Amino acid sequence: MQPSGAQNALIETMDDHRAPVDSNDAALVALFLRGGDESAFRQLFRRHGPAMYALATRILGDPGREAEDAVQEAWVRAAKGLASFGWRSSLRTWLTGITVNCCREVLRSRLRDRHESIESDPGANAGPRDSAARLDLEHAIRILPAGYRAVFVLHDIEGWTHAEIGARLGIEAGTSKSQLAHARQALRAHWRASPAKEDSHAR
Amino acid sequence: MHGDDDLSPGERAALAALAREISLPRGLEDRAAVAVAGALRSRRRRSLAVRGLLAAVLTGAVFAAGLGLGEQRARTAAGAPGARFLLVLREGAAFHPPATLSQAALVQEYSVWAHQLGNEGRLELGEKLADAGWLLGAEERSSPPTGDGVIAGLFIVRAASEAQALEIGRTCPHLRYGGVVEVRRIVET
Repeated sequence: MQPSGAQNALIETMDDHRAPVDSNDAALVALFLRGGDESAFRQLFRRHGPAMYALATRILGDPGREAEDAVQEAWVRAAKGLASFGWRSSLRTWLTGITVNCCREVLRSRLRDRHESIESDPGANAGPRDSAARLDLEHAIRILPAGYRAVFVLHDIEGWTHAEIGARLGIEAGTSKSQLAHARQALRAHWRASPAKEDSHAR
Repeated sequence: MHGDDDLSPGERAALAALAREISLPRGLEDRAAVAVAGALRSRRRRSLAVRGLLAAVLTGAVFAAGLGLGEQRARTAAGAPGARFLLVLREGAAFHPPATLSQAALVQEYSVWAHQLGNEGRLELGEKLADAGWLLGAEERSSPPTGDGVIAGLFIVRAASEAQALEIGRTCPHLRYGGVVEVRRIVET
């Protein structure tokens, strides 16, 4: 489900307190909107692309081509929508939301292709456990079920609220809370099972 | 079920230590720049088509019976396979849109048809012609011919074959109201 205009507005409004308008972003966007200035686009890309790529990689659990495609598609959509971007949130927050949407579409596509659950079914994406391998946090996140992973990344890494996550992912805030709790449980289980876990990561 | 605040200090530290940014793969910036430029070019073409159509409506540019189409510049078919065909819309004595149909509704009907062609990548050009023109020859006169109807507008569409071009022509709302659509293949030189 795509977030409605009202939901997007809600997300932008909720983000007001987070980041004021970045004058560099504003100048680059203005330059880009005047005629599709490629140099301005590339500067925007370099400012925000690495964060978008990190987010896509974590949500998709895949640092490969799917994450690259999601980021590319997010920029295409952003370029088309920049003229109507209201600066009620930071540009970074807006781009993050678009990236999340693109990642969700990739996850849905996977669901169709591989019958992967994006909402629940802990362990559906885990694969065989390699007890000899070092199970670091990034790896533990990567093998979370897709739905848990998205909520965990947005809440615990990106700092979104459950209301924001619910609005963006099209789920109830309560569902977001529940999935976050499941994600944390699963991560703790992995940490406990990891022979190479670092004590500082354990509760 | 855990609450939101059940992270231990160690867990919080581990999460805080995660990189918020990851180095971009080689070539992604270039690919994105190309994709964005392509998307914006396509968007500008569609925008021109919409602006032309709206301009025609707002300025009252109409066919003989009060039907406006105006300019359509959706060159989305450029480069697509197939041949180009000219669709000439004529309005003769038989052209009679129902009196119950408002001009706005008629315009909307033609708009939907034209935009659908544009969305399918078939429309290269759409132009509304002024009601009056000039005939040059042995004698010159200002009144347009009336035999098969006044040429009210024209479209250039791209189709895989003449049969497909005829099918496109048959979907034109002009035919529903007694108008004539002439289909001619453009000979590419």
